[in-house]
Amino acid sequence: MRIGGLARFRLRAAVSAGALVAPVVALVAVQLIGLSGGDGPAALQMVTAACLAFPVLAWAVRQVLDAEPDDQALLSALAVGGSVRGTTSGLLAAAGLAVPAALACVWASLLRVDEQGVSAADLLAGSGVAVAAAAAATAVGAVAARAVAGTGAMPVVVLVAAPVLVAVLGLADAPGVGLLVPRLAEAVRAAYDGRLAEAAPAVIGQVLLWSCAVLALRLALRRP
Amino acid sequence: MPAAPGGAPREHRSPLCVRALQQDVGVELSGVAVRYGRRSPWVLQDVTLSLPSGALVEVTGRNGAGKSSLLRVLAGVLRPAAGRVSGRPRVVGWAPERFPPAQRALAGDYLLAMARARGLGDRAALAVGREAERLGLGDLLGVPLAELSKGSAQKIGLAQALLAPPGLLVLDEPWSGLDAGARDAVPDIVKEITYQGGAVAVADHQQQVAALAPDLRWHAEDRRAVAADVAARAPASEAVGPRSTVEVDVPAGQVDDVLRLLRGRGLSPRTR
Repeated sequence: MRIGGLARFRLRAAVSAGALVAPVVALVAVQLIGLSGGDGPAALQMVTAACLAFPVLAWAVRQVLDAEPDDQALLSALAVGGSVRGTTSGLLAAAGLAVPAALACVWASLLRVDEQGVSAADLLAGSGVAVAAAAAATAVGAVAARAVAGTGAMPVVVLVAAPVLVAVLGLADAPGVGLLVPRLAEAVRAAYDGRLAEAAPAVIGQVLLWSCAVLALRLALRRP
Repeated sequence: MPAAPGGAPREHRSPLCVRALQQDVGVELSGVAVRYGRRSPWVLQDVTLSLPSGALVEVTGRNGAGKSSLLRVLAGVLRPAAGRVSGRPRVVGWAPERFPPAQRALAGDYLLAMARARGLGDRAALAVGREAERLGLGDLLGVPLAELSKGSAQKIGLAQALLAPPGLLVLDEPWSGLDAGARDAVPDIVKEITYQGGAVAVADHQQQVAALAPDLRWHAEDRRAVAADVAARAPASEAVGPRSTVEVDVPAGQVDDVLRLLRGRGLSPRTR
């Protein structure tokens, strides 16, 4: 309850500070460009939208987390009872932005589906992939935030390297790849092959587990 | 026995508080060391101090001696690189030396959010109103934090530390930048917290805290922070200030404890 209230305040503060204007513009632009190729199967449209949203949402997450000055983050953490709870409130604020934004992108992509429309199973799977992409974006954004990556070039490196690695390693079959990157690209391949509904649970599970592991490591750092 | 040295002894300290000073170890710092990076120089090393509940400690030392770092460790907003801190109360108020106002949120909304974050729920608005009245924040509540002057931001920083009654209040240069009304409120705040059994730590270059007759003094110097003789900074005020005699009625079994406590603060108690 206390953490949720602080999360809402932090998200409102980031919005009112204008920290999200650039990521939102970028998100709309990426979606318009990425889905401008014409009508396609609904499943493919949805997971493409989710994957395109992932790096921009990671940037937006970082913006939310970094909107609060360091000492104010310390004060917030003190108010809610410690650095872990303070960090959790920031991550909740970020996820509160990323999840609805990812779902909006995925559902908006359905405006361009082909004449076959969308099945309930694909809609559910596509929405699940959107939530998973938002979780992965929250994890990457948390690592790129000032408290972890500092203020130099490292945040940019993290934000650029993450989607590149997701694209390059995401389709590799080598053992252990699932530990390194969220396999969002696997959802695109499954959608292209027309088997998103069957593949989605495994993909979503892997992405959520990867995200939770990264976020747990972030919390273990105990830096507000 | 003589009164505490200094012009304004905290005459209203409760018997409960005196008992707390004797029995409650409060916050303990054991072997604490601080540095801001693995290759950075040590700011503090091997600091072992204790702050009993209900006590007021003045933290002294020159600029850069590590006072703010020590206060941050005490408040729990800075993890020591070595050592440990125990006995920190659940509710800690910390007013940093410079409250960071770089946010668009209205000051009133910020305080309300902090009050709710402290779990005050429906009482949050009441707590904000109380501190607004005490520190003269009325006109500031509708102003964005980013537009506050330094002194006004300091008031907000002080107010957020007081929204929930703290078991430990840590004030880093609390008088800096405050207007006369708010400056006058600080001693009352310190008295209120210690009277309620909370501990207060104050770093203050302007030496106004000396007038509050602190129970303890911690001095930071050369990467060390040690408990210094609190009476050592008293002579000036002692020489010019009025003196009075206070009689204390204590159970026979506690006489030695009370005498030891008072002698530890540079006083000269007598029994009869």
